[in-house]
Amino acid sequence: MFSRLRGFFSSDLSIDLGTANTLIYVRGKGIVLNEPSVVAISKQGDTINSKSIRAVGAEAKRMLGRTPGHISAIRPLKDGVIADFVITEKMLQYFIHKAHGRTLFQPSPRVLVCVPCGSTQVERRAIKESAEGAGARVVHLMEEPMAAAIGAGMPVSEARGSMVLDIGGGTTEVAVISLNGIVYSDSVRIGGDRFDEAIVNYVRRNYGTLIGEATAERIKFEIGCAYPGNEVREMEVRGRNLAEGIPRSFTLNSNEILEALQEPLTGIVDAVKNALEKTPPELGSDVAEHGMVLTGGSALLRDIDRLLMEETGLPVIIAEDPLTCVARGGGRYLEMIDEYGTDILTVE
Amino acid sequence: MTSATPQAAPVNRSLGALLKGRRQELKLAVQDIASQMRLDPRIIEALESECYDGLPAPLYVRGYIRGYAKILKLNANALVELYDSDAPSEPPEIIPEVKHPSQTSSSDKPVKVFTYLVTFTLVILLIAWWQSSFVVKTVTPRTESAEPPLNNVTGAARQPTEPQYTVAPAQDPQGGAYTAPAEEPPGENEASAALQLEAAVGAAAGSIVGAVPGPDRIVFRLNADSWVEVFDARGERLFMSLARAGEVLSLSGTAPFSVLLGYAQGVAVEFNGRPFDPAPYSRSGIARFTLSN
Repeated sequence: MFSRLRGFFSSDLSIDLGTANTLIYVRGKGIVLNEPSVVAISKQGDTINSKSIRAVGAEAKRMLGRTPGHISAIRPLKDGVIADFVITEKMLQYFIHKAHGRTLFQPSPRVLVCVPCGSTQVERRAIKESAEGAGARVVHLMEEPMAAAIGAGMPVSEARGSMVLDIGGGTTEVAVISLNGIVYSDSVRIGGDRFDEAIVNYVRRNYGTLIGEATAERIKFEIGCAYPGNEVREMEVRGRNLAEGIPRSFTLNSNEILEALQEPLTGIVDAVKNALEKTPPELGSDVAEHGMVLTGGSALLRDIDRLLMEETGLPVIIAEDPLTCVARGGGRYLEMIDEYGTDILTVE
Repeated sequence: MTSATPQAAPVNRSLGALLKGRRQELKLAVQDIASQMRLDPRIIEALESECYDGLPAPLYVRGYIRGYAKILKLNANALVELYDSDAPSEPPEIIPEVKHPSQTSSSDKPVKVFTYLVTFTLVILLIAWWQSSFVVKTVTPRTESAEPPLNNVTGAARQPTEPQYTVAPAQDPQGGAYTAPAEEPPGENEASAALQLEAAVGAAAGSIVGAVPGPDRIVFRLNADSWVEVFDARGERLFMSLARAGEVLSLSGTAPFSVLLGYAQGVAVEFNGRPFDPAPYSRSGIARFTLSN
């Protein structure tokens, strides 16, 4: 009953509910929140309430793999979709409050959530209900590649094929867009998480040492690359030696990481090639003329554009600020809803 | 993204000149750059000549500049900034693919104006109706009671089909007082008697006379106030009003009469000179019956 009144005091939000990071774009303010999608909860019985949540976001991420018995740090999203409904709801509630700042009323904003294009109806419904449970007045869903394309500044309204490749934490979305609609889209469950996993596996196999996911992520940021370069970078890493059971330090170089990342990278390249194969020829020629655009956090992996350029023979461009493209695109769409209504784009 | 050994771009030179100068310095042909970037050589030439009209959206141009800078080992960010200052650009508009005809809603101006007009008219009409009904209420009793009885008799004579009522002074409250229309058959004794009675002025109680031509006569003597309704055989209304205590109501018309008495106990009924008892037809005071020969 009071949701409309409370909505008057709430701003519209565009949420990129990602596996790795959640970003919130507030209408008129820009990106106000960029935090890891991690929740630390303390286990007290079976029920989860607001008291059992110990930390959310960056603070909770620091706890990943470092928690005592009664606390567990959870990533409630997996492969771009909700794995733990209740915790996702709590996390969203926390983020929405945080993005809103202190207000007299409990915020009841209009929310746009971006979902992977490969997600099922059940998964979309779960995301919608989760956002509603977190206090949203109205929830719109939008497919991630479309949001990414708008956020990157691609001419989605033109009768011209635009190809976007959004490499996120859990999924990689590839789509060809023309005239405000998605012509072809595909989603593979490969993303930054799979890169980390591949690094962990590589180190265990080749060095007989176990490293945590947080360490693997750090390695990826510092020396990870997708295409052999001229310079080789090195990094010292500590992990538990499986044979001795004692933490040991060793040195990894970028070529080793390149080798480690081969499998997930091949998956992404295959998805792109598949998309190009299934794109209608006219749109395909547009893509070949102007190139495809990379967005998403994993687009920051060194030389990933080079890899795709070599593999496909097409120009590849990395969008400005690729991490925030999806949230910004959702925000732009949200700004247009008032003017044109919800049917400007093919969403949901 | 940016090359490992970026060279600071001198700010006094334009973007195209910078790119071209550096490329010639490195002894590279446009074709080499184009093949490395997988682009059409025309795009490279357009970048060097700063003809951005034929190039795709700014997002792509920035990407090309970054790629080109990487090959030339220049500072990509500085070059992109140079481009942005040269050709400041907004992100491409999202234009709705189909313009949907906007549905008329209650917030539209014409609809609003129309609604206000209708409401205003209704209010005016309501006020007018209220005023007129108030006037009628105050005027009606006066017109009914103030008319002189003789005028009414003449009126009834002129319009024999229209029933006319009036309160006529009668000498005897028990005696039947009535008017007789001009066309009434001369054989009717009661008619002449009524006319005689009517002429007498200064009675204590009034008598009401129904003036519709007809062979049958019905007389109500009211001991208490009662609502009286009488319709004749043709369904024509002879009388329909509240009759006061002490009044004598004499009506003539064609039987059968359908009668409604609001308070049957307080009314004595006489039909063609014979008394009639409405009690058997009375239900909680209200009697409804038909009188026929």
